[in-house]
Amino acid sequence: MIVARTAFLLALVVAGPAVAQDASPTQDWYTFNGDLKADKYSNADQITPQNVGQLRTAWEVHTGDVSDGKNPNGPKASDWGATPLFVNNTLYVSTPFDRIFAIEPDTGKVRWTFDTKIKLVDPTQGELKNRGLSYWQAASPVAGQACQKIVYLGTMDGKVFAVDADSGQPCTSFGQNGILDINQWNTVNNKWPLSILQSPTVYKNQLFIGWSGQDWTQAVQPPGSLFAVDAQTGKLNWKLDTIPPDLDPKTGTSNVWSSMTVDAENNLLFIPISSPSPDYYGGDRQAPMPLSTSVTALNPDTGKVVWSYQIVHHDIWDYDTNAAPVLFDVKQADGTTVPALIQSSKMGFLFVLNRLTGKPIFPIEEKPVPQDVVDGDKASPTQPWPTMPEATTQDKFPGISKLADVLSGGYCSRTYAGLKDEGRFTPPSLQGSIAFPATVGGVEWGGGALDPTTNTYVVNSSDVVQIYKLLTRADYDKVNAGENIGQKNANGYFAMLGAPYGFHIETFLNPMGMPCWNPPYGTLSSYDLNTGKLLWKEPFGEVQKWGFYMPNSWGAVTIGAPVITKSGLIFIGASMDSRVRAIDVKSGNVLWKAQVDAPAVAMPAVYTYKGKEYVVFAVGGNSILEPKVADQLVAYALP
Amino acid sequence: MTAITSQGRRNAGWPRFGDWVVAVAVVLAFVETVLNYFFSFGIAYSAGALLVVISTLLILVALVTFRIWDSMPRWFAVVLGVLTLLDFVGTAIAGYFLEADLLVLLMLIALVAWLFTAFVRPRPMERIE
Repeated sequence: MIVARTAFLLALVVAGPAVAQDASPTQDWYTFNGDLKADKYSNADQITPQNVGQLRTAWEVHTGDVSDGKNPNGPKASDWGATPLFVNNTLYVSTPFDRIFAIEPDTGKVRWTFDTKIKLVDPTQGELKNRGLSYWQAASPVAGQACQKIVYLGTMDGKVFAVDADSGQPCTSFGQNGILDINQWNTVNNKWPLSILQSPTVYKNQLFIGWSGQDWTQAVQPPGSLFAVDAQTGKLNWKLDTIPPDLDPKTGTSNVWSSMTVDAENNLLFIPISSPSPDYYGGDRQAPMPLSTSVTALNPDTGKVVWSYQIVHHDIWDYDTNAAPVLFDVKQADGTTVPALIQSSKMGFLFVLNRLTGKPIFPIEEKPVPQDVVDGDKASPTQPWPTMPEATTQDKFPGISKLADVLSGGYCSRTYAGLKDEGRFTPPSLQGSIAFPATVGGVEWGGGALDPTTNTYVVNSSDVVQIYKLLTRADYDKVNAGENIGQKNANGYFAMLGAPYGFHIETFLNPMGMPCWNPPYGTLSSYDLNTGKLLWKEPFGEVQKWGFYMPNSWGAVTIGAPVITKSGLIFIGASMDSRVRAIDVKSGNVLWKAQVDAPAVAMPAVYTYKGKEYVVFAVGGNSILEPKVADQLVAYALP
Repeated sequence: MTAITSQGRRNAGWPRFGDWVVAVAVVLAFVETVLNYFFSFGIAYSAGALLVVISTLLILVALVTFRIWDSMPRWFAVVLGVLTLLDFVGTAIAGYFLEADLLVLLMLIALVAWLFTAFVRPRPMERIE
């Protein structure tokens, strides 16, 4: 006990305020993923499998920041994936219109709002996206002094706003009058501006800022970079470039666009790094790029790479590493523990690695993969293939849906017969290739949740088949004649300017809009990470068409993520049927569900305030998957 | 309403109890579908919700037709009866996929009462006036 307490105090001294946050006994939800370990786990246990059926709406807020994008003179469609933060006895949430709301956690009353007043013209994404806020506080906040506690908001135009968490006033000592513009560092291949979708990760006195762009438009693009800045001043401490500088004239990106994870105990920052550009052709980037499509551990003080594990070699499928890895300790049969992480992926593979060394804990094979690529490219001979845990998606095309095929007069089977399908990692081709899982996943940017007391890991995953088709430059230009092809992302056409090919992507649907492949279209799975074994796997969510709910066994495409509570409940929105659910973590059975205004594509936050447990969902929708958007923030609690 | 044949309907003492059950269930179902269309979270203003408004309305029209058209030709009564039967079943199935449980229940009640009324012959003494 004395040893443990001494170690804890030592950790506080060494790591500073962020560790103090991480070790907090309160039931806060102080990062996008709940805490720095990204386990999306809450100690709250008031709501149980026995009483969850009594959950009621405690309060509801409509921010007014919503757009369906249909007004040609109005803002583009909103895409709200912001998980609220509960910290400093306040609920903080940001909106797709880049405003911050500070809300009373038990009543929903708005304490203050902060408006960045940026133009609602998205420079890169085609939608107004926002995935939340970050929070920092001084190790010993001085009462009455401003900006001892700061809320940060990253915006689509590449700015980070620092706002006093108590008053909602700008922290003027940060950046320039409270605004840090990361585009000042966008100096190499700056074909487009940098956008911040995901809030920075905060640890000690630093912010770690990743960004997004338009990686489908060009072959040569801004090289992926991660910025570490001082939390109070915005001064750049270090910068990591993920692409070897000598390759800058040929490629770019491999950026970090999703959330990150921190191991405070071992002083490690884990970053999920995306694919290089262009997304679907690698002929001009054959040289080794070891950080691309990887999970990489850094020293957060220096930005030096400690280790890196590439989950896709020579990525030509846009299989970005897209979610923060989840940290946990594997409990082995002999009673020892191994510090580990689990990295989910768009492929549905789950990589369990020793988080100190990057070595696999469960065996990962290098399996031969299809080699038939277009002229000019060369596929990697092998790809990493985890043997355990079982992937969330199957290895082969799920088969043609007879219903979709019959109703379309054989369209599905005829189309499939003309496509290339060699299983996982079938390269994009001129004739069109089956991509399963495709770039939409598998597991998306929410990742999974983990109960650290049992090492039960729960993750939602989609089963989506897409068709990847390369077009010669001449053909591409013919199809897109007259368009601004440099920015074009309409109807699935990706320019990849500078490469010998353009690209077209489409989901494999029949003319009626029905999926041409067999269900399920989405699942929720649970694993025992001590053994790597699958505990259960259930279709998750419901497809809704014209108001009709399709059979539960079909499941649905999901975006968002689950959270787990100590009492054995999973809370999750994510499904395209605009419902939020509570699920028994042991059985996977749905115990409670409620209808909300749109798909809740943000993971919920769970917190306890004045002795009462709340589950709060930001309900915003994602118009890419379902033309239904909303501005609803809704909290549920027991009566 | 109702039996598929109009013969004996009056003699059976119209309106019989089964007819009332069918009528009440369908009226309630129609009200339910209208409320669903405008107010039911999740399916409001959807094509499916509109479909069951129309299908229950058609059942109501059929019931009224049976009620007021005493001299309905037999062939027409058979056709209308079969269509109405299909409408009951279809509306119930649609209600199931809309997760409108009350609608499904009302359709099942109406269907059972309809079948009872249509196929169970009145006892002879009921024909004596």
